[in-house]
Amino acid sequence: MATTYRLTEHHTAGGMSRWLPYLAELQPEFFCEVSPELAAERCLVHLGWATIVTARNAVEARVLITQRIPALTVAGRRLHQVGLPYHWGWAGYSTGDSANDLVEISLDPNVHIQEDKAFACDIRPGRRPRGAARPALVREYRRRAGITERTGTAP
Amino acid sequence: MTAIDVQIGPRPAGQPDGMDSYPGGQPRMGFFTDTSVCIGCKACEVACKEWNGVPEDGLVLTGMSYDNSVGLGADTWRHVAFIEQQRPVSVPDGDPAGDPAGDPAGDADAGGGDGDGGLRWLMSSDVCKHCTHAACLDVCPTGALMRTEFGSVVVQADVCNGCGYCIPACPYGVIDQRKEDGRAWKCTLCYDRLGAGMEPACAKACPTDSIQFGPLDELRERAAARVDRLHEAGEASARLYGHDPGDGVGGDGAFFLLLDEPEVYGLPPDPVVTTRDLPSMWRHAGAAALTLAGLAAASFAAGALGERLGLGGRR
Repeated sequence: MATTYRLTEHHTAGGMSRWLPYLAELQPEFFCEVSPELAAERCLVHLGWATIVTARNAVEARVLITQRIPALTVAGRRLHQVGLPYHWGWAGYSTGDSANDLVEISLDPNVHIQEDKAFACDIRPGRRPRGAARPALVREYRRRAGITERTGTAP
Repeated sequence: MTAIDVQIGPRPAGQPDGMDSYPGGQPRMGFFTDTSVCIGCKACEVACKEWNGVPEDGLVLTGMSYDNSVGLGADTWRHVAFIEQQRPVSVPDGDPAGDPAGDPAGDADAGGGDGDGGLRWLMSSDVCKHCTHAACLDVCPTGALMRTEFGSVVVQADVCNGCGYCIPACPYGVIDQRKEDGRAWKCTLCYDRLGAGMEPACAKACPTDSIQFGPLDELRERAAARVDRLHEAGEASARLYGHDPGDGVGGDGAFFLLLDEPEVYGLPPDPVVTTRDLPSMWRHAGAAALTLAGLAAASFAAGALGERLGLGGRR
């Protein structure tokens, strides 16, 4: 499961804070946080690159291995978490892939902001494919998961 | 002004070197950084840079938890350390009604529902210690480093010639050279703000009062009371650092409340003013020079005497 969250150094998608050197230097790159257990299972290296794939998209992030993101046991199944701060984008002083590219568009009817903060994902070592290979990778994941325009991509 | 302006003999405890030359009345001011309530927001780092016009120093993801500024330097005058520790939580959760000291920072059990042990995340905002016996001040040949009327140590940027003597002199590794202009830079305790009756920018920005600014005597009392409260609440590892006028630097003008050993936070456990042995070194060097001069004079005298008595070698 991936879960997205904020860092104190940045504001929402970073459109304002990533342009400021004093804030950008404090959290300079998009990263994903994983447990040592998941890192060992998927051959992820601290400060190396990882590609996170969902039914919607694939993004790349630097890896931070930390005990703070533990694996959970839910209904007898080992469930790994991938922590993703969602402050990055293609423009600005500090740039990176956007964690929100991974989610479906889903609106909270009460407060009218995006309401999905946790969703199924895969994580693999290395940078994401460029150009047409990126949607091709996501299509391949969709095909294997049996996701079609009729099933939708909800987590 | 001599190059090495070192006080000879025992130094008075508590009173910063050089401060007695200012007219009285102004108490010594300082920082008490209570790391038990630091939330790691880094507002102090940003406020410091904004106020003092300190340049950004690189976009580098360090992988040291959420610490991407690594340590104090010419372009980082406040630095927040993040330390992740896997250890049993010392304060049992419970008694939600009344915890007199509040919850010491980072003692939340982040182990999820799996019960895989306690994890605590220590955060601590480091800064120049404004030592009572400041070695940087002792070794500065230009007088750029000075003791202010508030007891703080300040580099005057327009006087500093970039010799760099102060950098290895600092027992904490605080002061550093800015590569672009060669001069030495560090925290000024916001000397300009103090003169206008304001507190330093970091203390002003700190949302939890982890950074407290005030007269040093008052801060020491407050810190002692805080440690007692944390001990009562079961946080046995809480201790003060840099508060003791009897330590190797005569006590710090900026001292800390830590929740673990100083080394855990990257602080030296037993700092000593690096110019402590200079007077004795000069005395020994002087004695050696006198001895050599005496020997040389004696050998000439012996030679002349020998020649007069006709004992000289063939010429």
